[in-house]
Amino acid sequence: MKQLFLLGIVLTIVVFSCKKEETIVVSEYSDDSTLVDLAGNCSTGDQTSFAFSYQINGLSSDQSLMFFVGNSFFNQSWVQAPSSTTARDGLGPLFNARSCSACHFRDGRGAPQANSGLLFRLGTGADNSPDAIYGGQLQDFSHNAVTSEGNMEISYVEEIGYFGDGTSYSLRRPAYTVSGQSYGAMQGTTLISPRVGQQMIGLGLLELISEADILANADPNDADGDGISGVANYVTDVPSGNVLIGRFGWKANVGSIAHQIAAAFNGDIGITSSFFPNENYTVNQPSCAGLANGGTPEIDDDDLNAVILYSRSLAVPKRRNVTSSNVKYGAQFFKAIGCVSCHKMNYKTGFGGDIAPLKNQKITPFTDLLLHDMGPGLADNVPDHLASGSEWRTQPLWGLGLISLVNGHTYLLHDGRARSIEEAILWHGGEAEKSKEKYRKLPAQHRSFLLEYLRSL
Amino acid sequence: MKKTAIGIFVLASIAFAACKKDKKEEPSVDQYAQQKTDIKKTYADMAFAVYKDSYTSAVTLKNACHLLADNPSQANLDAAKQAWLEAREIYGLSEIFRFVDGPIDNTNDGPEGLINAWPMDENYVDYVDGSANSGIINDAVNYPTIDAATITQANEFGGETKISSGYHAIEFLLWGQDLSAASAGQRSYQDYVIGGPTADNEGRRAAYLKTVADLLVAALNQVKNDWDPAIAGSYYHTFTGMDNQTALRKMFNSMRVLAGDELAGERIYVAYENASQEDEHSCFSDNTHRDIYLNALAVENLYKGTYTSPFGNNVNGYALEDLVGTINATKNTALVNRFAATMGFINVMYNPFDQAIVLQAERPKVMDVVTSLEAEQDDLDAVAAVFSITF
Repeated sequence: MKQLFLLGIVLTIVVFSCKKEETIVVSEYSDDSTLVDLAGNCSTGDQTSFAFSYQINGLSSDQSLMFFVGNSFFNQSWVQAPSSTTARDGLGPLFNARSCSACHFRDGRGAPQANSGLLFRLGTGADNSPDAIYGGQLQDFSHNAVTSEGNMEISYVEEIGYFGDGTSYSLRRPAYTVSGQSYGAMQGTTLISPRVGQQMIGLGLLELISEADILANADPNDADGDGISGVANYVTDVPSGNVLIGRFGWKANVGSIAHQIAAAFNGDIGITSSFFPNENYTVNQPSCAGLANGGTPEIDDDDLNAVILYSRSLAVPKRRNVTSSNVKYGAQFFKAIGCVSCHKMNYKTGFGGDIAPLKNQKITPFTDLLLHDMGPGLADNVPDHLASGSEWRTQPLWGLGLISLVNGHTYLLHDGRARSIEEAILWHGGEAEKSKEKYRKLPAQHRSFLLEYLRSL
Repeated sequence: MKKTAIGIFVLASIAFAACKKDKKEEPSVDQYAQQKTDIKKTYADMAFAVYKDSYTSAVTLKNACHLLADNPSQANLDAAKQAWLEAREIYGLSEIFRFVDGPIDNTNDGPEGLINAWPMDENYVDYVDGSANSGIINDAVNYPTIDAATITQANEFGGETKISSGYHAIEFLLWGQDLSAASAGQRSYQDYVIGGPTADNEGRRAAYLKTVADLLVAALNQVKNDWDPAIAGSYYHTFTGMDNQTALRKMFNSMRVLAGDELAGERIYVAYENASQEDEHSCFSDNTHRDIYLNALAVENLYKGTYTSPFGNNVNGYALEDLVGTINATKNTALVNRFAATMGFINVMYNPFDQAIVLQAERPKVMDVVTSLEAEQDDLDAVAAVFSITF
C-alpha cells in the first residue's frame, strides 16, 4: 500500500515535470527564469571559491591595473606603525579587523562570530547618537599599545515552527551583549546593532541605478494598499557633501561606495583617510591618543581611490543550473508568492562615473534598494537616518547560491542568524509576512524548487 | 518490496529520460580525451614533485634555523639565509597550483596564509626601527610562552589573514628590516646571543624562529600529502579523476590569474604604482626579483609540463603545449614566444626590485614586465578558447 502511494507520487512528479516544462514556454516570466548573466557584460563565469573576486570585463588598461592596487589594499593586512611597509601601516589603535578581506573573505560574506566578519554598531536615542565612551561601533581588537574595547557576546534560543504540511523547523533567536567593557560601563541606553560583512559583487552597478528608478518603486505610505511600502533612506555623503539616497549597508545608510570604503577603513581597521581624518576613538579613551600613526592620512588618496575602483568593479557570477526544470519552477514560485515585490529584478544602469563597462547594462540584482518594515522578529530597534528600528534594506540576491562555496557557510541576514536560505526566508516578517506565510504553506517539493532557484542565483 | 522500489525507480527514470530526450543532443565524443587525461596526470605529478621538493627544502631551512637559534654565529646565520633563499626557489614554482580550490588554498583548510602571508606585521612580532620594545618577542607579560599555540593563536588575531608566521616571518627574523637602499636587512646574529649587545629577549626570539620554522614544515607537509599519489583518497586522485573540461579550466585559471592578476597586477604593478621601497614581497632579503622570475617560470612550467628538480624529481610529461601544438599551432607558438619575451624582460629588470621601482631610469623596465605579463594573460585566454574555456 505504502509502495503504491509512493509510486503515485513519483508518477505525479514526473508527469507534472514534463507538463510544466511546456507551460513554462508560454509563461510571461520565461524570459528571465533561464537568464544566466545577471549583470550583463559585468558577469563572470568563474565558479570556484574565487567567484566573487573577478574584475568586470572591459576596464581600461589603467583601470585594470589600478583594480589590482585596490585588490592589494583590500586583501592584505594593515600593520602597526612604524613598519617597513610604510604604505600599509597605521592599523588601529582600535580595530575590528586587520584587512577588508578579514570580514569580506574572498570578497564574500562574514560569519556571525568575532574575527570573522561580525561587528556591533552602538547607538542611543531617537537620533542614534554614538555611545559616549565607545562611539558608534565596538572595536573588539586593538594593537599592542592599548586594550580592546570589549567582546561581542552572542547567545541563541531555538524556536520551533511548523510548515503548512506539519513538518517542523527551528530558528535561532539571538541576544547580544558586550562583555569586558574595558574603558568603563557603556551608557545604559546604548543599543547594539550587529552587522555582518556582505559580498562585494556588483556594487558599482547598484551605484549606477538612477535615483528615479529607485523612487519609482517607493511607496512610503503604501498608497497602492498591497501591504508593501518601500522607503528611500536619505543620507549625507561625506566624500561629495551631498544628500543622496542610501543604497549600501543593511539599512541603506550609505549613499556611495566611496563613503562606504572610507568609513569602513576608519571604523573597522582604524585607518584614517582624507574623508575620515580622525582615528576612531573617543575623548573618553585618552590612552588611544598620541600613539604612532601611519601618516596623515594613513591611506593616501591614490590607494583609497584604487580600493574604491576595485569595489566598483567586481563582477557578478553567472547563474548555474538554469536549464534544470526544478530551478525553472522555483523561479515561478519566487514570483507567485510575492518575493519580487521587494527583490526587484530588472534595471538598466545609467551613464555616470568613469568606468565604461558599468554603464547602460541590463542587470538583475533582486533588490529595490529600499527600506521595508521586516517586523519585530528582525528589528534591532536602532533607528538609522530615516530607517526605523524594524526597517531593513532589501538585500540583493545575486551570488546568493555561491556564498557556501566562497565562504564555506550559509549564514544570512544582517547578523547571520539564519543558517540557511530557508531560515532567512522564514525570518521575514512585517511587510514580508504574507509572502513568508505563502512559503510556509507551500508543499515541501515546491519549497525545494524555490530554494533550488535561489541557489542558482 | 525491493522489486517495487526498483520498479518505481525504473519507471521514474524512463519517464524522466523521456522528457529530457528531445531537449538534449547526444554529447559528441572528445577525440582528445586521452591526451587530456595525460595532461591531468602530468599536472598532478608536477604538483606532487614541486610540493615534495618544497617540503624537503623547508626541512633543511628548519634545521638551519634551529642550528642558528641554538648556536648563534655569523656562519649559522649565513647558512640559514642561504637555506631560506634555496627554499624560496622551489616554493615560487609551486604557486601555479593556487587559485583553483586545490589543497594549497581551498576555503576549508588551505594553509597558504600560514605559508606565504604578506605583508609581514614586523612590530607585531619583534622590535623595529623607532619601536625598540615592540612585538610578541618583547612582550613576556601578554605572551609568557612562545610556542606553536601562541603563534597560531596570534596569527588568527584580528582577521583571517596570517601575518606573524610563514616564509616572510622567517625572512624578517633572519634579515631584519631593510633600512638601506644598497643592501638587504642587516640583522645581527647577536640578536640570538643570550646577553648579546644588539637586542633584548634573545632566547624568546630564538624560540620564535624555531617555532615558525616548525609551523612552515608542518603546513608544507600537509600540502605535499594532499598531492601524494601513494596516499589513497588524496587530492592527486581527485584531480586526475576530475572531468577533463573542469581540470583544464582549472589549469588555465591558475595560469591566467598567476601571470595577470597576481604577478602583473598585485605583485609588480602595485609596488610600481606605490613606488614605496619596501612594498615588495621579499622586502627584508631583497629577493623579490627571484619571486617574480619563479612565478613567471611556473606558468611556463605548467603549460609545458616540465619541472626541473634540485632533488632528482624531474617531471617532463605530455602537456598543454603538446596538445595545443596539434590543434592550433599558431596560438601555441604565439604563447610560447610570449613566455620567452616575458622572461627576457624579467631578466633585464634592475636588481634589487626595491630600487627598480624607485629609480626613474629603471621604472620603464618594470612596466615592460607588467605589459608582457598582461599580454601573456591575453594569449592564455586565446589558447583556452581553443577548448571552449572562457573567463
